Amino acid sequence: MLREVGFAGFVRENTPALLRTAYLLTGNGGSAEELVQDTLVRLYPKWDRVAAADVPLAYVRRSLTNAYINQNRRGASRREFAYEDVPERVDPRDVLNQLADRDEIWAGLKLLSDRQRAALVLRFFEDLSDEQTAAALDCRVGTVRSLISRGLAILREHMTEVPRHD
Amino acid sequence: MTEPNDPLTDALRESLRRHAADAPAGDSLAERIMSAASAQQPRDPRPAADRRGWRTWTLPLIAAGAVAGVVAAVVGIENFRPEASHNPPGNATPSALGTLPTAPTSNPATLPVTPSETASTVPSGLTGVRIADLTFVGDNDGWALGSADCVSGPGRCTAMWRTTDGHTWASMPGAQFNVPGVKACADPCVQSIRFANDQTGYAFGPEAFFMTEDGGRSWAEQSGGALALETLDNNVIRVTANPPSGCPGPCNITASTSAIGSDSWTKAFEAPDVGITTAVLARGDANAYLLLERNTAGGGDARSTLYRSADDGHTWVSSGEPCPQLTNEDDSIAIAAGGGGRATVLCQDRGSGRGAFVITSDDAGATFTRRGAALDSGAVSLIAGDPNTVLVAAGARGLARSTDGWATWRWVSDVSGEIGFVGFESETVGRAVSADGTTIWTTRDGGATWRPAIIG
Repeated sequence: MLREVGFAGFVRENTPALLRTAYLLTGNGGSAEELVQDTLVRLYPKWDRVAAADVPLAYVRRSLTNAYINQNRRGASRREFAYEDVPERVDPRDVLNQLADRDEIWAGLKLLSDRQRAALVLRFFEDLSDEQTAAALDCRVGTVRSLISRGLAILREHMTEVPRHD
Repeated sequence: MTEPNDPLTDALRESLRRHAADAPAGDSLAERIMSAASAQQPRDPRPAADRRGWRTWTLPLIAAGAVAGVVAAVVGIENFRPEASHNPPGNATPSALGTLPTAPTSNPATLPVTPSETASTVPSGLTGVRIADLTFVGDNDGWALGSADCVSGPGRCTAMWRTTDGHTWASMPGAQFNVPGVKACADPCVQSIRFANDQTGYAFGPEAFFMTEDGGRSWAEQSGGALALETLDNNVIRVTANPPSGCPGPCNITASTSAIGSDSWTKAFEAPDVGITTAVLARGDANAYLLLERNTAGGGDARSTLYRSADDGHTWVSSGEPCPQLTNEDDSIAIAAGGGGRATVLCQDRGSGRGAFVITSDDAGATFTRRGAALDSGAVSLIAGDPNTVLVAAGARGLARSTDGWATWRWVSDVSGEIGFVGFESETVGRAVSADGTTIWTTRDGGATWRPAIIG
């Protein structure tokens, strides 16, 4: 009963936040709900372990992120986009102007690999440190920095290619 | 590595923040998650009877509601037939029984998965079905006791149904007793049913007591009767009165205990109370609660008495009337047991029009605290659930639900009409039965939504 009460309380309290993260990862409301539900239901049998973690939410977020990455890896529903060269940096002021349409960034996120997108979401939405992001992604800090750098580079490239509608 | 004040990262933060607001609200997602989690493979490998948990079937008040046929472990002693004499075991006359022959059970229908605004009909091969009582040993493993039109010939016959998936009910033979609405419930008259596991169960009334050890296919009669009975933790608590039709006056309300499947009962406690009209038994973990209610129709003191046990019914202490006495008398009319020593009592004012209100305890009934706003007088008479998860109160007005220990509550729109029975098997799965016994509502999301089914 204690486990059930703890689980129920956690679910009620944190489902909205987890849904927002899941939505940013998947880009789709239905997939986000499915991801959150699958993650929590899978964790339920070992909830004692989750509850004993220093930060249960971090534990769950890591599971959710990994579920997202692994799920897409299995289903091959997303593709890795390989770029041989990181494009030259453009003038930040130009980029800022181009980012007036937020959907361009949102669209650019679809070009990223799952791990790159997850790294950006955790770093720039959840405001996790590189170390915390590495823990969530189960990888080294250096890998996180590489994923973020690469992801931002792809976004920049996307922004330079998107035609403006001025 | 990103640079500080990079306009791209600033814009990315802003984009993510704004798009996060587009995420689904997930209004019912939390409930669905808990329902899906509880529907997983059993986490507790012990059989249901061994679990120390939450047995919170809350049973209807007797009063006029009993006429509708929804009766259970709460039995109004004043409604007993004083002229009825109890036959010794084995003396039941088969010809006096209105028991149905085996009804068609093939091709049972399954309810649609999606909620429906209109009730679905679950064919059971019978017509005129009236559910009298429900019992479950898991979220989906249950039995129903009731009556239906006799298959051959006129009149009403006793019927039983079995479900193993929680929504498909198949009628089963074997009932050797009458129920309310069948042959004036001539002896042996059974009003309630309880199962401890998928094999062992009890069917009982104030003057009749049967046990099955084959899932309800056959029943063996034991002596005496029972006003209430609940199983948990591989043991049974049975509440009896002697004589069963003896109230008002000394009722000799007795609680006895037994191992599941045994016909040997040990008397644990006898209440000194007199003038008892209703006995309510609820169990959660090792805690048991016996609420003895008096007739409020007269002019005398009709306050209830709550007895509580912390050792599966072996020893009991009195808590008196748990409802706070305000300007007028306030009487306990229902109790629900939760886990962790939590209990909830429904209080009803007596004649002042202040209505009903809820009190909760987290110390196994030693002390109670009033919660939330009052409900209209007479609107509810049943309570079920756990203050830490979900509580429901039900009755003439329908069904109200709270997820914050009744600090706040609201009526559930899915359920309409008078409710005669409500109970939860877990924090997500519960059932309610209409007062006329024709509709069973099932919730799988902690009472947020309820799906009706009519067995017929």
